[in-house]
Amino acid sequence: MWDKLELLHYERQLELIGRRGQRRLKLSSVFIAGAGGLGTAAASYLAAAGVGRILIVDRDKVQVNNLNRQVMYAEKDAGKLKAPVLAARLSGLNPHIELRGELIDISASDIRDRVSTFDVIVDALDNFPSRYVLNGAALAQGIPLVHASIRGFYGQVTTLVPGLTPCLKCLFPEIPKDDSPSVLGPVCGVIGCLQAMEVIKYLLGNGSLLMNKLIVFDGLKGSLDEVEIGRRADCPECGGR
Amino acid sequence: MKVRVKFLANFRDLFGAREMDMVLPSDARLNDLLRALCDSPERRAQVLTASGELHPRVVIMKNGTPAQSLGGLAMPLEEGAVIAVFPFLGGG
Repeated sequence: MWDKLELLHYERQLELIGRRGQRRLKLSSVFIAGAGGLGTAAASYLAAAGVGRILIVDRDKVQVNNLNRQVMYAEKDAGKLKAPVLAARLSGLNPHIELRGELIDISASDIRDRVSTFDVIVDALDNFPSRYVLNGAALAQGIPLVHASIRGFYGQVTTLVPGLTPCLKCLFPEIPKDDSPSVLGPVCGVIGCLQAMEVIKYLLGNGSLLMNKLIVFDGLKGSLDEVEIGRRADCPECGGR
Repeated sequence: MKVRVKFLANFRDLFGAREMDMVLPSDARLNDLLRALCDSPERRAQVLTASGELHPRVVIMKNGTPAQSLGGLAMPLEEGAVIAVFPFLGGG
């Protein structure tokens, strides 16, 4: 199953997770929705860690004003579709896994079938209408959804497991009008990495997931705080199931 | 009755506290709590709109459930309730 170079790639984590854990990662698959600030960070660490099959989807092209936070792109990538560029870049980081990047507009797609073959979904999107579609797909297929979002100096993350935790619509039933929020790059990095950590813990069955709690990161204070969250019996999306 | 209010992110500086206990009449609702808390124009402007509705960029939860699904400003409060106040974060 392993070649020499591949084992060397993972050498510094094998003591922590063992070959068995590494094998489990290799046999796992992750659907990453969004190749922006959160998605570039989460995808990078999941690829580096050796998740065996990763699909990154996004509808946007690289713009130069993305580059304060989306650090896997280069100025010369401006105008190219993000997801394929990110997948190609990460294939260089870890050539031992299967990485694909596709143009998909989640807000305008029925992605229930697309997500069905993945173990975990990462919500690295930049708008709630698309997040609601992703949430519906995760619920329909019974797949955990690692949600995160950011704005300014702040970020939030939680792991939503159908049947065990609230869904996204339980937590955020209404949303303000969308805009292009300002954000500092390191906030995306911190929160995207927390998402990658959640995915790895879930895949390995290690540690405690951020279930039924929302973590709020305050970059100005360097603090992480917890908000207990619960299911809503009257949720129009999951009905508290 | 006494409720505990937890402030996160920018609301921590706005209210000068991580959390505070508020004593309110037994029939108090969210509106009463916010009127007691928002005792300056700046606090009011960040929590409520000019027309007195909940500001769309603030998330308020009672015991982990969003106020919007519990009646909004008319959400009833009860002894020991934990109210979390934090910003709506929509980007990625």
